Amino acid sequence: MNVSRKAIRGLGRWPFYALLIFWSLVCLYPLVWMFSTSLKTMPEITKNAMALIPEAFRFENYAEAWTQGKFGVYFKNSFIVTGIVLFLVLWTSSMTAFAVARTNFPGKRLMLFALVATLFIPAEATLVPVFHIAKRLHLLNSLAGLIIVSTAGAQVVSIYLIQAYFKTIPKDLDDAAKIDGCTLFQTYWHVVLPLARPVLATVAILTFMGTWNAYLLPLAFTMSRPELRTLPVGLVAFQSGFAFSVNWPLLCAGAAITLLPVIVLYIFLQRYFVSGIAAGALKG
Amino acid sequence: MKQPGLIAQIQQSWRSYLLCTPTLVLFLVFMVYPVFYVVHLSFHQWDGITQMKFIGWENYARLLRDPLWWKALGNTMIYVLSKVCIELSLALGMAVVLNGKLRGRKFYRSVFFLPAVTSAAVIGIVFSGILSPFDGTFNEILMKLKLIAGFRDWLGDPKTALYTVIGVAIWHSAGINMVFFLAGLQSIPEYLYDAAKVDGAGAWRQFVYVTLPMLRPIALIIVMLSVIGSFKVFDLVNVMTGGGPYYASEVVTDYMFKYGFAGKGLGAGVISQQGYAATIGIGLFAIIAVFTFLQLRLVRDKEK
Repeated sequence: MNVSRKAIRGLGRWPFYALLIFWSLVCLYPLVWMFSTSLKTMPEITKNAMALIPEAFRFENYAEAWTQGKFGVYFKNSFIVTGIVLFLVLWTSSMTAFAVARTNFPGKRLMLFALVATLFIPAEATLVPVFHIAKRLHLLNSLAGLIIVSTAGAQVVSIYLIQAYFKTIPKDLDDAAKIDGCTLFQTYWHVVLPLARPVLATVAILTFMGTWNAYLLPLAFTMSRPELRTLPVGLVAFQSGFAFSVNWPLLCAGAAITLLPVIVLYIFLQRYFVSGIAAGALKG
Repeated sequence: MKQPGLIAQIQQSWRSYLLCTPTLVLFLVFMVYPVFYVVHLSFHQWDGITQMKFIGWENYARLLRDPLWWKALGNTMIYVLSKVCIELSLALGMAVVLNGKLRGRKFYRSVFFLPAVTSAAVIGIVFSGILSPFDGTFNEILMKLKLIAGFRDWLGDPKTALYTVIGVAIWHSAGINMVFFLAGLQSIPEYLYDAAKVDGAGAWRQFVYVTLPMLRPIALIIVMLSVIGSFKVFDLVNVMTGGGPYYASEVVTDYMFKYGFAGKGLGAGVISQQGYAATIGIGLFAIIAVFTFLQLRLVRDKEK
């Protein structure tokens, strides 16, 4: 009796496993196709499109994409933009979060209300004016405009997450630091910030993904400046550059160059990615 | 103790203001000012370079008469409704299955979430390769499975373009919603299931009478986020179809982009129309605001 019930339960699970495996394949196939195509030759993709393992691994595609496809330039731009945005977002939003969570000042409620209210205004709706403001401030001749506007956009959720975490750190620490002669800024830097590493990691991952993967904002901001393109924008421009037959191996090498840093980070920091994104979206 | 006056309080808090200054400067210049600027622009005709010309409500009247705007809006609605429904049922199903004690569930969870960390623009390129009628493998796979008879141009056919983009969008973001649902499922206390089991409820009834009601608060948030996010769709459409063919997959944000930035895709000679682009942006905002409001009302009514 017991045995047969177990067997039935075992059998009952098979459809689940079949579905799980099917969806895993669906999730992985496009990425596997991309990596495999990125290592094929042009004739092979028409002759042997279905094969997932290339006949000869042509790593030169990556070198060609890097130089001829200008992915080296795009990578540098993406790297600079993401790096500086990451630094700026952590710096400005942790300072504001500290002021909000640890001190009282006239206008605090109004500021918080205004910050949260902008969460309901889609950034897409104000893209046109933001572009003209950046242009008038002469920020479009370099990566500065993209960096500053991306920082402004990533701030609000970050402030919200960081200040929520700051509130869980006992306030006695601040008082103790004050007695020891710490100024407010020293308390922020030496006492509270080091204790907030987990939330800073969450914010860093959210900001990294958002900035590295962004498309609309860098597309709008680099329209007349091809040398400032980031990886996603450069990749799309590279594809539009083919008049008749697309060089899929080179294009896929470019796509792989764009996706690899995120995928590698995801594999190593998976736990932080999943919890960070869930926290960022649900609390924000 | 006497409460110090407002001026004194402000003077005492200079350190707090100093800490907030970088945030506030960025916030005022790039988040608050643009809101007023976009309204201002919507009442003007402007090519982005020469003098602005005040035209009153003309941009709004034009928006109401513009068949392509309505087409883009209709497509966006189709996109939002079908994507949210399919994606969230899929995500909920995956979350429920992976919340059980299955072998390898950690592996499946990481694989299902993987698409969500990739850039939508890059994924759009990869999928346009797979879906390509000549070099692509999607057609071949379907033909081997005897699901279609001949090659199809999924993104080039007005009948299938929008739905193909929706399919790719579901592939891209189902995993993230699965993670949200998993977070919700894990917050349901185990003893409720034990109680249901004692009462003789099977797996299905446990799902209907315990899981679903307990999940409702978080599910409403997930639906809201998914709806708002989907209304703003741009990357996949812009990359995979550019709104084409013949505006068959045009969506609001992409339509706005065409007017705002160099009139791309609207035919030669069309200069960028910043005022009209701003008006489309306001239209997008209005629609999202209405849907957010309705959903918040729904949440509040349910709580009562």
